[in-house]
Amino acid sequence: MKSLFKRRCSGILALALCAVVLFSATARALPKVEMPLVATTCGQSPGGMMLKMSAMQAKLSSVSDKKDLRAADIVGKGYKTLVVTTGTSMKGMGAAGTDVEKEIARCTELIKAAKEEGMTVVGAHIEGMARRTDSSDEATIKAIMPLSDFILIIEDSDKDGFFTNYAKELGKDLIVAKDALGVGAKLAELQ
Amino acid sequence: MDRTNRIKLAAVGVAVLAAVVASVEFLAMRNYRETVILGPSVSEVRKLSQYEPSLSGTPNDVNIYIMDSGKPGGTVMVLGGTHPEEPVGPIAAHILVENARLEAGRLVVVTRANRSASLYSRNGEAYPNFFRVKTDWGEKKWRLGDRGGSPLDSWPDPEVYVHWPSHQMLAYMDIRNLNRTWPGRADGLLTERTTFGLMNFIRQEKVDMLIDLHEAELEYPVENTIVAHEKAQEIAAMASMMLTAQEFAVPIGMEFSPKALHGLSHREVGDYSEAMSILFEVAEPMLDRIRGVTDESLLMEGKDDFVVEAGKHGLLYAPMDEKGWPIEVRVGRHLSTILQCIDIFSMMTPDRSVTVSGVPRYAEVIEKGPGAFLKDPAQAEKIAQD
Repeated sequence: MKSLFKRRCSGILALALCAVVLFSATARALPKVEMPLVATTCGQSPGGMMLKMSAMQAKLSSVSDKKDLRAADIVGKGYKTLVVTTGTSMKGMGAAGTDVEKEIARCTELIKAAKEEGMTVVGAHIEGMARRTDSSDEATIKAIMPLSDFILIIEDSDKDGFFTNYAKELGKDLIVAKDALGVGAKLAELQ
Repeated sequence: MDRTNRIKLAAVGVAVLAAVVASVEFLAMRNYRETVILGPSVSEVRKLSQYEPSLSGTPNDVNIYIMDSGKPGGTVMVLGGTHPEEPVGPIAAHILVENARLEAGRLVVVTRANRSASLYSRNGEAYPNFFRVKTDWGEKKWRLGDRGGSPLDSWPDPEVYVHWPSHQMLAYMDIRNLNRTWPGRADGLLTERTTFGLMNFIRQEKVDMLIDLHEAELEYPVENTIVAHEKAQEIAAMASMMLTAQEFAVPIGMEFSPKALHGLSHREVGDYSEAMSILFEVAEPMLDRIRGVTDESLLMEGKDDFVVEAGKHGLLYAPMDEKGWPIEVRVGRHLSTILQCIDIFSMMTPDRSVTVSGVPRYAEVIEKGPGAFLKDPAQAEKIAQD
């Protein structure tokens, strides 16, 4: 009788252990965001500025943005996180005298430098479906997201499930904020 | 009289009849005056000719409605009617003049920034001559004009319009388009002199923020957005995020004003004065090229099966369904965006704050309709006419 009880207890313990091991293997920790953070937009839309304003609302210090951020602006400056928002603005690119190819080249070089600096790189899309309308928007998304450590979006950007599927395809964590105003709070959660 | 001469005579008769009918319609529009009820905070109505004397006696010697709290603060200026085929600007401007109560600073409103352009319509595209908003006391009627000033008031157009002072070459008819002639010039044609007068007002009266109200076709990528000069970018970014998160069913975006595109208010007012300059866009299906019957119903209800179909083919930059973009949604969006930008401006520059109450926001305009906020001229103590 005692040996039967022992065998059953051992079985239950073994099952519990398996469950813990399995859970640990499948549950991934949320990515971390460290400050100071610097943001830019691949495509000269106001995403980087919106991220900074939203971070200010969430009382996050040390968040800055620069429209034409380049590798030289981050090397040796002590930044811990780079956020590159995607989605293009023809008005913005016209204002900056650039185009989508030049923007992708700038941000690709920037991300390379950020990785060499040991920074976390976040690919973001925080202006919703209004910045997923044409081939330029798509080009920036497909250039930046594969290079990022994780992807940060808002609900409206994923109305058609594109980012859910794309993040799975890339094997990246997908962090979803309710809207652009909530992006700062989401970054604060990830600290 | 032989048969040929009888046909000629009949043709002349038909032509004269058509000319008479057209003349009656034309004069009805050109002579119609829009009544503005002066609301509780209107302290003064000035004429633009005070700031550019050559406008005296022209259709563009427009009214400038000044609402002064009498308390220290900044000055915000709102332009309606830059493009008269975009009716939300004048409607929102009337609601501001008739309802706003100023508690700090000043609010300045122009309801017909390019009045000349409101005096004739684009009949070749079947635009109606007038539009109406239903109210408890009856209907309030406005002229539905064209995009540029009337050739009767500004003629002839040049072969190529060379913008002053950038020397950028623009399409010839844009010399009559108020949003291509900023910052204007004193010796230019009528629309250039109009923006020159408005710039003089902005500089002399120390306007802190200029808001220019517009609508756009859904086929145009700059849609449901705030276009901002560098000086106003943080205000526009914050306003767009807050309105999208807290009020609007369809998000409102933000765009940077291009530095190399000249003549537009969001660029030149910011460059040539101390004021921040921003421009709002909202969807107006009647402006789309892909549209069906063009009438007052389409203008006000914003419903069109052809535009819906265009959306299904991915040709639009704004959502479009059978509910359309009715006037209450469009007016409500502009009013909330104005109030939100004023609030953020006041928060960021407390020594120049402007405090406004009494103006309905998006949800209230949708619930009650814009007509609920337009006053009965028969009951008004003070009125003005545009």
